[in-house]
Amino acid sequence: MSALPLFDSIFMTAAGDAPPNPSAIDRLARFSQQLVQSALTDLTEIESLDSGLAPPDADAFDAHAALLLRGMYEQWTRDADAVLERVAKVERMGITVPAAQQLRDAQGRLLAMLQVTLDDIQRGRRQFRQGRTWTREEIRGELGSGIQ
Amino acid sequence: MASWVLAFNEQARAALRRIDPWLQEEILDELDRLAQNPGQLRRGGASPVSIADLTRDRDNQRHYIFLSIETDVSTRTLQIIDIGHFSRVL
Repeated sequence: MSALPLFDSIFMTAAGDAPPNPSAIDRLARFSQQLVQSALTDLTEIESLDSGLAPPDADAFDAHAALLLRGMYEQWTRDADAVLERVAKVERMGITVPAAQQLRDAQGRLLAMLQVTLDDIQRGRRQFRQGRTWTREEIRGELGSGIQ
Repeated sequence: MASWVLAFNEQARAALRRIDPWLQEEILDELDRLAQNPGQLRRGGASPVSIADLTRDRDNQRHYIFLSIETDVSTRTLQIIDIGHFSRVL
C-alpha cells in the first residue's frame, strides 16, 4: 500500500514528541482511520469484481480469472497485514482507530477462505462425483460423543 | 418446507476432524441452519461453489470458518466441498 511510508513519517513525528503534541496525535489518529478505510474500500472493490465474474453454473467457471482474483485477495491480505501492524502501534499509544476490528475481521475471514484453494475445490467436487460421501448423521457420529 | 440433506466428502470430513470439537459442533449447527434455509448461502464470486462463513470467539481466540458448498437442486443436497479455518488472538 503506497500510503504506508506516509503513515510511518506521521507516526514518527507523533510518537517522537515529548511531551506528546495533541495536534500530531490527532493527525496520526485521523490518518490511521483513513488507512483502515482505504483498505476496506480496496477489499470492497475486489469483491465487486469477483461478484461480477460469477459463472452461470459451476461447470462454466473461468479458472484463470478465479486464480487471478485469488491473487488479488492474497495481495490484499498482505496489504491489510501491513496496515494492521501499524494500527496496533497506534492503539498501543492509547488511540482508538475506528473500524480497525472490522478490518481485522475482514482479513481473518479472507485468510480462512484462502485456506481452501481452487485445487481443493476441484478435488472436492471430484470426490462427490467419484467417491464415498458421508451423511450428517455419520459425521456427527464419528466426531465423538461430545457432539449430539 | 423440509430441510435439505447435508453430504460431506473425504476432504471436508478431514478438515472438520482437524478442528477442535466445540468448533466442529458450531460448524455442524451452522450447516444445519443452512440446510433449513439454503437461501442464506452466497455465490462464491468467480469460484464455482457457494460459500458461507462464521466467526466464533473462545479462550481469547477469534476463529474464522469458511465453508465451500455446492448445491444439488435435483436431490436437494448441500455438498460440503471443503472447510477453511483461521484463528487469531483477540
